[in-house]
Amino acid sequence: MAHLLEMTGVSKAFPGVKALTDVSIFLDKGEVLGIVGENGAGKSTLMKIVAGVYTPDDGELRLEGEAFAPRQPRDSLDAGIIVIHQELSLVPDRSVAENIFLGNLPHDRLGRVRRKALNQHAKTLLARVGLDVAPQTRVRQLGIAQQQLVEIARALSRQARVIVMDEPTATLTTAEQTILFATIRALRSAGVGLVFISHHLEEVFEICDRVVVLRDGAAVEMRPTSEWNETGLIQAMVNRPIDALFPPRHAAIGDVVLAVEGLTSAGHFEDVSLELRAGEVLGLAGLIGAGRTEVLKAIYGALPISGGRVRVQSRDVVIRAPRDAIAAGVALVPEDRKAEGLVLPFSIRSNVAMSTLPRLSWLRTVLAPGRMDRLAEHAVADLRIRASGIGQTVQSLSGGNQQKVVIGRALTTKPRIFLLDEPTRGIDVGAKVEVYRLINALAEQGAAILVVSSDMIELLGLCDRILIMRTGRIAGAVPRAEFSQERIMHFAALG
Amino acid sequence: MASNLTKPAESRRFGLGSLVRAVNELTIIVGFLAISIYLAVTTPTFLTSANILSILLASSLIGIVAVGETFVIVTGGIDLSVGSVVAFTGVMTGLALNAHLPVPVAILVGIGIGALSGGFIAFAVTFLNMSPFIVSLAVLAMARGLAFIVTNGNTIFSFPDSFDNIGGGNLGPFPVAALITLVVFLVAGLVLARTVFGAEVYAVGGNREAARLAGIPVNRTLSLVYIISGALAGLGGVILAGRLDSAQPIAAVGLELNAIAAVVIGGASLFGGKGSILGTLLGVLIIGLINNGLTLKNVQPFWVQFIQGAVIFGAVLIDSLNQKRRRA
Repeated sequence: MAHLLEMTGVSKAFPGVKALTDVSIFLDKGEVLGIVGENGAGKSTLMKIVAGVYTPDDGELRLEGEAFAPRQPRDSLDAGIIVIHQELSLVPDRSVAENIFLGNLPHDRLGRVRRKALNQHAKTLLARVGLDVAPQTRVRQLGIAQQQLVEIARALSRQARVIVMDEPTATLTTAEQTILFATIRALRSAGVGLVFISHHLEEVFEICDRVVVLRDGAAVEMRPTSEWNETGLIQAMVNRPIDALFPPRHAAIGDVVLAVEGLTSAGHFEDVSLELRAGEVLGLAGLIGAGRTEVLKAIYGALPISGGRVRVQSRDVVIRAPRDAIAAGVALVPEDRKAEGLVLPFSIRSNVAMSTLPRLSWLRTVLAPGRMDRLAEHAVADLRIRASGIGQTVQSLSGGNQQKVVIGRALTTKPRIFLLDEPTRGIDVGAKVEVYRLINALAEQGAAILVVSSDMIELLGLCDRILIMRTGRIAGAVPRAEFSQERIMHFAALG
Repeated sequence: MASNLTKPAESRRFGLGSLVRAVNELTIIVGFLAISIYLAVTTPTFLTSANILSILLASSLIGIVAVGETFVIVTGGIDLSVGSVVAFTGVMTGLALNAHLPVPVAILVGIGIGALSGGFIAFAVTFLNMSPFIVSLAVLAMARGLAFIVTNGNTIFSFPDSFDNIGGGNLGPFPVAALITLVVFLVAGLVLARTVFGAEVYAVGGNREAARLAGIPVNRTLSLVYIISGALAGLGGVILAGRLDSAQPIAAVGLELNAIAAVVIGGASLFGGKGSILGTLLGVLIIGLINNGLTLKNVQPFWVQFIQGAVIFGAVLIDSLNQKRRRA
């Protein structure tokens, strides 16, 4: 019997880059195919070919045995191939129901939207993805995780034959992930073919039937999940043995450098107090929407506070704007690097230089291009940013390298306190390990690090201590000696 | 920073996008030459020195205003008020002259009022979080209204010769106004491309939130661009009054359209983060050529308006197709 979707000998090159070389893979009905690989391995290109965004230079696609050559995204949609991207594509100010049926709204002969039917259908789909909100809710009011479930509901509304999910769990909490996986299993039983792209290998092992490893644009290995183990998979991805994901910690913990007392930001979080010491890595765990990101932003001066105070190195500081935070030696690596961290169409050089422009100038006024170049060259070398040069635009870098640019810029202000918000979200295993090493190295040099992450393994591996937030308050603290995932989830979900 | 902006990240499919990009980057100059050659061949008067001078004079007003508009547009904003501000500052300068204030003081009155009007827009945009489009539209109406109020609708005239020289005089063979314009372009070009402030303007336009989190003083940057735009409109008002030896409340109607068109033709994006003073210079010259050509070819004034609108539409269309390609 013909495969549901089959790609044979697909190649795609961009000027200067061979993105895919002779890739042959297939997907059957009622299975979940995992695709793993480092960033830049070609996963996105492969998916964009399936989605009709790119046309392959060579090779062919077959859909249920018939030649299939999508020339534009519409062609793939019409064929029942739905790609759910990492970047969500919802309209924030319309209702959940309207978003689900966007472009496909039920209407009467006069073109009036049939609200009742719309909301009814939406309700059914929302139940299938396990999202408990009213269909009339505006998407803007939902968290990122909930928005993702809306996207999946939208895919369900389109009679999908093939659903491709690009990093669907990157922002989901464990509870939401459980619901997502239940949805995926239900779709699989219904005969849909699913492609699951993820950096979280545990999830790949949990949900996928077969796993393909992409490396440098080639499909290097494709085997049933049962024939893989985690070490083997990572080795196939990076082509080198990985001793351990988390380097050992040797940092000496010193004095309190950041003291937050009763910090409150109305509507976001309340009465948050914490102490962070030099050399310490402090984790901030909790569900999406618990207020973790907001705490970091408030400390950084990017979110107005309505009470409490912040002390840096035992001095009261007034931080009204990010500039004040930077001056006080505090740096933030924001959660959403594309929306908040980078100016995507600008070069690495411009992005790295952005926080220290006056220092890179004569008389703090006229830019000194040489100084900017040197700063950027250093960042590229120190952080091993893979790029053709400092003039390359950051939008053409892989996620991991983009994140390194954001971190590189944070380092230029010589901070003693780092606020890291989901520092490894959406980046590949290799880059993750590099970020972990960097965090350790910074701590060993005496920096104090406050890290927010939804990846529990990451927090357990990195931190000296973990604080747990729930609905805008600190719900508990767990020292390293008592680390266990159950303990932390208990605090986060139940208290 | 500016030089990186025009380089595409990578070329993708050879579709409308790459065509548009080629159009954007190369054809400004080619188009400029093509229009020039066409006019030189088909009209007897185009290549006369009187005509070229008149193009330069007309372009100097659009040019000075377009420079300010470039700063605003690179931050992702827009200033629709500039035409009215030219008229209002022109009549205020005229009133100052007729009140026998010294010429330099009268000039400062014009530029200062322009800066104040820009400051008003800046305040509304930064502190009150209002949309620059709507605020500057309101100021467009208010400034025009004030110009009529203070003059009672009359033209103000008979200025001292030393003042008229600014707009209409010559320094050697060159019109003073064109020389002032040249200086404005040079200084603005350096400021935008080579200073901290310029880099901040690009960053704010490229991604305001990222710029804020990177510690860039976003509100200060935004305020300054509107003040610069207003002050340069004031300078434009002074030059126009000097050239005409009179100041009319009805002057410079629709000038903002020409200025915005010049900036966008010059490769700036209305989405922000992209644009250059050199591009704007080319855009201004093309607008000047088109306006001049329409006069030389005796095109009906009604069609002139239409064609100017169509040119703006075309430029914005290219910008928005570029943007789409960038997002793809």
